[in-house]
Amino acid sequence: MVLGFSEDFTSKIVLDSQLKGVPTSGLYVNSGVHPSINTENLLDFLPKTDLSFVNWSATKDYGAFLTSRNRDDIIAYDSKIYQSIQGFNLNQTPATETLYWVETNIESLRLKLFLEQVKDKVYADLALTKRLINNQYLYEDGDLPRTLENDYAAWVLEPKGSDFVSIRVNEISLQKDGTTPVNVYVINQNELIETITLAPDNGRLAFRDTDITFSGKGSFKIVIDSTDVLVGGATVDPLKFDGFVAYTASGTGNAPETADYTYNTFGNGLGINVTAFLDATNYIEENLSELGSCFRATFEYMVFQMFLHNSNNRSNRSQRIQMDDQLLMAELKNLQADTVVSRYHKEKKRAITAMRKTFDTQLNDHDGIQIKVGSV
Amino acid sequence: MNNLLSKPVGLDETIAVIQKDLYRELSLVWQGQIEGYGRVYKNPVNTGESVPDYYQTSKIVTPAWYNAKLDDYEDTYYDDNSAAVFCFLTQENDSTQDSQVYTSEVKIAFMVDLSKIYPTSSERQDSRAQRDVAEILRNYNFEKYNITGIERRVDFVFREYLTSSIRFNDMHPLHCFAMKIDLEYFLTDKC
Repeated sequence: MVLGFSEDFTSKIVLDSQLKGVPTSGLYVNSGVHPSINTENLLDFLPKTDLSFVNWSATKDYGAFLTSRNRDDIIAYDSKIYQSIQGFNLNQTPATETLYWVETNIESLRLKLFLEQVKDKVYADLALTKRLINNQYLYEDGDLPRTLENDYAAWVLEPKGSDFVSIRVNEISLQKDGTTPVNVYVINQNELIETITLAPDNGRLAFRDTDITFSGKGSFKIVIDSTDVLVGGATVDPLKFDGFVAYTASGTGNAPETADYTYNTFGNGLGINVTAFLDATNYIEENLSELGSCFRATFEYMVFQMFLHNSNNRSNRSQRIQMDDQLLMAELKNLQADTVVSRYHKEKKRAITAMRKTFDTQLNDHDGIQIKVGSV
Repeated sequence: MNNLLSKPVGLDETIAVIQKDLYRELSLVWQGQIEGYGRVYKNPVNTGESVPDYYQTSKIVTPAWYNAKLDDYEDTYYDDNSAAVFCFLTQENDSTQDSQVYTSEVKIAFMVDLSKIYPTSSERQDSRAQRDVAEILRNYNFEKYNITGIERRVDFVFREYLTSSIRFNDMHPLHCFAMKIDLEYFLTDKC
């Protein structure tokens, strides 16, 4: 894991290897924080539910649990609990395929999910998950018959100037006579990622829902075999979209993923509906040296919020000792002293400052009004 | 876990016998983990809260047992890591007629999660929990004590203690009750 959880010998529970492993960032979130934050206290405030998990199935395709956060991606096998740590996890035996599964226990899962909640708060605090374009349609309602040249025709989508942009294709259409389905190929860096079939609607614009998300390096292509389509007379301006570049292309070759593509600026009958957003995951994981302290302070703050509100309605000895309302209120309200809340705000401010210097300036959030308070 | 004293004497010895019987037999009829404690102490806690009239002291108290392994006191209120908790609440004044046999008013307090001890039942089985305890008390060592009554609700059972800090509403699935017994014990076997 990027963030680590330090052993503090306060609980008999043995945490799983994912939590116990040395964090790649070198950062232990529970070390160097308020002394009330220890493993036993955390486990006595986090949700306590008696859970049982379904047995592993060799025919089920599991996703990475911390990404999916789906209970189905945790299974029981040989009287032990395993957590899927990779997507496309099919027919990988939990006990032996350690690249796909990690043996865990319910306490480790509860801690890991809380850490994910902390991550989500950091994303929200720093406004790192920002929608750049919401449901933008890229199409032209054409009525000019045209035979597409070469072997393939494509829309090419490229994140603009940043690897932190994700592009999701919500809908897709093909304006073409007839109703015979055609194949649509989704390609990234000469690799065919997915093939879907799309049925035209007798020359009408008819969008079909899809769920294709591009993120990562390189351009992404949505490709069809060259065929007769209906187009308009407009040209495509590839630079008019925030967060990504979109243009059309035609390809020559034996297969869509290996064809040579030539870029152009006219329509090809394909229409798409696109949402582009900043995906902060990579950014945060690559810049933890700047954001690590913010993570730890947010973790500390959220733990104290949980102590104060007892949000999971726990009732036990640790809970009773820690739930001293006056002390917790002081830690969560007093911004003047060195409290949990003051550390949280200070680290958040530092992280935002660092982010402004390093994050893709083209994609920064400049919305809203900033008010600077000076001396009167 | 049954938290027993290793060398109980006097009142503690008699309580330990009942504690063993209760723990063993309840484990057969209740599901989930049970925490059993013997005689608990009224330990002061500085809270700054007002003093209740019924317990004239400058401090508020919680029921606590002395955990010799940790060299520290621990409160014996409900723990949601378990299904049920029970402990013995005693008074400060025990009486004797012959300086040999002493009589003590004791309450055996239970705090249970009914959904855990009776996982197959969706109804509130609070009376069933009380019946299970009463039957065990009637079946074992009944010559050492008399059952004198039963108390219900956490704020009534623990009325001599601070209960405001307990997150334990007497609503389903949680339930608190106490069996009241007059218990006889010997401090010494010398006649």
